[in-house]
Amino acid sequence: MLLTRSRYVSGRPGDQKPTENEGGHRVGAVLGTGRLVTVADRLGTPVPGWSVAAFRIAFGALVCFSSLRFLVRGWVDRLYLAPANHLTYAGFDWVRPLPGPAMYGLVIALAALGACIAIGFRTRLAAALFVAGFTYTELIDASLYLNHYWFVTLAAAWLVAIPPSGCASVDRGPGTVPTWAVWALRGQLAVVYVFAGIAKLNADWLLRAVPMRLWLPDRAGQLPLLGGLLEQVWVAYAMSWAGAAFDLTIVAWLLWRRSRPFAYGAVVAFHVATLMLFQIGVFGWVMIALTPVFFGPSWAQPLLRRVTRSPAPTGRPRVRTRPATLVALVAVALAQTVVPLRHLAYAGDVRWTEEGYYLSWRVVLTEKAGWLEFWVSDPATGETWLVRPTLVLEDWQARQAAIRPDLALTAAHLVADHYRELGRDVEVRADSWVSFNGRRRQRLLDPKVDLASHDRGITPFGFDASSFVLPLDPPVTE
Amino acid sequence: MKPRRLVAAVLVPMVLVACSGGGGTKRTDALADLADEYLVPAYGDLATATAELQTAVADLCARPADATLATARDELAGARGAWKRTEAARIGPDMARRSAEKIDWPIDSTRIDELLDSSTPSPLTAEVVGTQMSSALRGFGALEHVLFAPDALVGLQSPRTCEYVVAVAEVASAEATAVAAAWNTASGDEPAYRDTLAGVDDSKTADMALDDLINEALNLTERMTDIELRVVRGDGPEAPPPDPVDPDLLLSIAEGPAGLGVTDALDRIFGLRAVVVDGIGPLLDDDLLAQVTAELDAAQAAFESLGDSTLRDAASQQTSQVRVAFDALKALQVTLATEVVADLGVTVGFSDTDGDSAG
Repeated sequence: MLLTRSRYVSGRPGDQKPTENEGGHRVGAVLGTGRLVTVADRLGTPVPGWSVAAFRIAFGALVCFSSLRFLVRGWVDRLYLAPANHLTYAGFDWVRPLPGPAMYGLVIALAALGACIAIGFRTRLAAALFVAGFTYTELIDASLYLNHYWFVTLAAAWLVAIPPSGCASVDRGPGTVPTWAVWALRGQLAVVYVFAGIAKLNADWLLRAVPMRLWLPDRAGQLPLLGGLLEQVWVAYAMSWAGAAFDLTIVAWLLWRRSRPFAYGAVVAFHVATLMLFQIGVFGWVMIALTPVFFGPSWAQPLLRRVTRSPAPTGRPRVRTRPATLVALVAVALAQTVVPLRHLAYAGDVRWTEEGYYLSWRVVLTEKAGWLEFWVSDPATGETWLVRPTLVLEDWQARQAAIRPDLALTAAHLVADHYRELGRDVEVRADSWVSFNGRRRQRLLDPKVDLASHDRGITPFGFDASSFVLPLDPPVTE
Repeated sequence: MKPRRLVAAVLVPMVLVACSGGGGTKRTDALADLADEYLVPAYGDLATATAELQTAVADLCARPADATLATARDELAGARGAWKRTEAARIGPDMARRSAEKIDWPIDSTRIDELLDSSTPSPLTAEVVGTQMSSALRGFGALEHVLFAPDALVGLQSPRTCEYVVAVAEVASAEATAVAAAWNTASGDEPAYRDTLAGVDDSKTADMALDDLINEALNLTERMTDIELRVVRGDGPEAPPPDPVDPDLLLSIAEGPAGLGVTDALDRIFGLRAVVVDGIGPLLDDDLLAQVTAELDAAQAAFESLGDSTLRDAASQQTSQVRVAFDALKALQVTLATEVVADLGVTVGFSDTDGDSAG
């Protein structure tokens, strides 16, 4: 119906000067011919593939590095192989670690797949295999869940969906990608920031400056000159408000061309600061490396053309987005909006119950210190005895179980399984205490509930927290 | 205002504020006071007490008699008490040196008896005991096993037994002296641990030391409830153990033939009070400090109510007091693990791998 691709098919694909440089911002003007313009056409309009290529290269390099780091630090053994039990996701109990050498092989393969993605070698296949392998490793133990791993999964999935451009890539391509590809990646990053910002809109964060005022004094020693500032309460307030404002508005600043360079500078400063202050692994580097996708689709062209060959044409680029693709994009956008907010449908505060925590971009938001033991009783003999979670868990798993009710529930089931193997059908009740955001400790789990007989639900669709998690008293809003 | 002055007007107050600290007691000050007023003297006491123990054991072997045996037993109790009073702060040099393996470690009494009945290795010097033998064959527990045996004086008639206890005492004394020195004296590139604890060169080391102190205090209460008291509080050895550890070993850790379990507990509570209340207390919220103090008071009162009883006797004769002691220590344990940790911010609680989730 509407053909703007003729602008791109002359000359070498990917090298042309685009008529718009905002990944579709000015498509309407370009198409201002009086014809009916559909959303499908706009999303399908080809734009130079350089920014997506830069995203792909940075992503591949980071996941390759991250996988190698996992190996070098001995985490394959410590986190996957050494534990006698894993805190599985409800509904995914069947996911178990591979035997030792195979598990190492898988992580090495993930690093290799990251390298393939970075160089653009069979990109979609490599990304698909990466998604499968990475998701598998993430499903092994819920106590290892991190929001940025979820982001990595989604970003890799987008690289499966996006047609290869051929830019800075071994794969051949037209030098362009559909407009939706650029916006999908931008949208994925935007989701992280916006929902992280929304999560900060609560009384603790804004009115009490917690947990910042708990964390910052402990970091004072890490900044030789200005470290004393971190002990000031007003600094905690300033950083809380600045953090919320950053998360909530940075996407808008990145989208506005005039403010974009400054906004990206703020992104770098923000993540470097968090990397210095908190132990957040590669998360900050991921965001710094991938956020440039907000720049125009050709921003990386001068940089990448110096070090890579130009894309080889493979045919005419698609213009109209297929209906199935459009439906899929809408569904993904809807899901990514609803899933982080699903906790609103659950009883209780998600920060306390953790019901709705997974897949929700609730990043670096709360401070919890917990204590968990189990009272185990054998109705057949009348005996009752005390059991620590470390009977069935490693220390690092037990620490997470102490503050996350779903993991405590899983741990209780493991304890029951342990005694079942010894021929005893036991009941398991929790002695569980948590100090939340600096408050005095409260009981987290109802000590009267037999957790061994409590259904675990299906992650991430909730686990009926209100039936065994005691309410936070008083609520955070008070 | 010129830009340069504007920058100065903004930066100078910030730097001044930064250098002035956050008001109230600073961590480094609190830890320096803890080191100077309690920990350094306590490790000094340990060195002195073990030296006196070494002398007493040597005298005992030179002149085996009821009087010298009684003196050696008293000195052992004194040295053991000095060690237990530092147990809440088992950080720094004694952790790095693994001093407990030479001073106080769970013993294997059967192997000790076999060693004394055999002829090898010979001679049993401090060098041999300290470097070639298992930790289960040395330390206060080994001395207790020999000195508090029913026929101790008979056993000490054996030159090999005397050779052994003198060597064990010498090893313990040398280790305690080395630890005390490390707290006070720089060695090579290593500063005195007192300065590391107080963050003299780098306040980051003080932050790390504070983390270690809280964790060690917590570990100590866990050892007391999970090991010593778990069995005697009434669960009984027939109940499944909390961890896959031999219950008989737990009992041997808890109390040897000297029956010092209650004394040990009181010495440990003394050290906990010195570290958590007197040392770290100024950094805590007032209400929280009062709570910790009350919980320690309750634990101390419960153990004092056991009088001169051994833990074994208390298990059968003073069950209710033992339960009170257990509950008081458990309450302290939970307070340390939750509220004290949160109040001090000693653990942010991110994942050990790549954290983005708090807790």
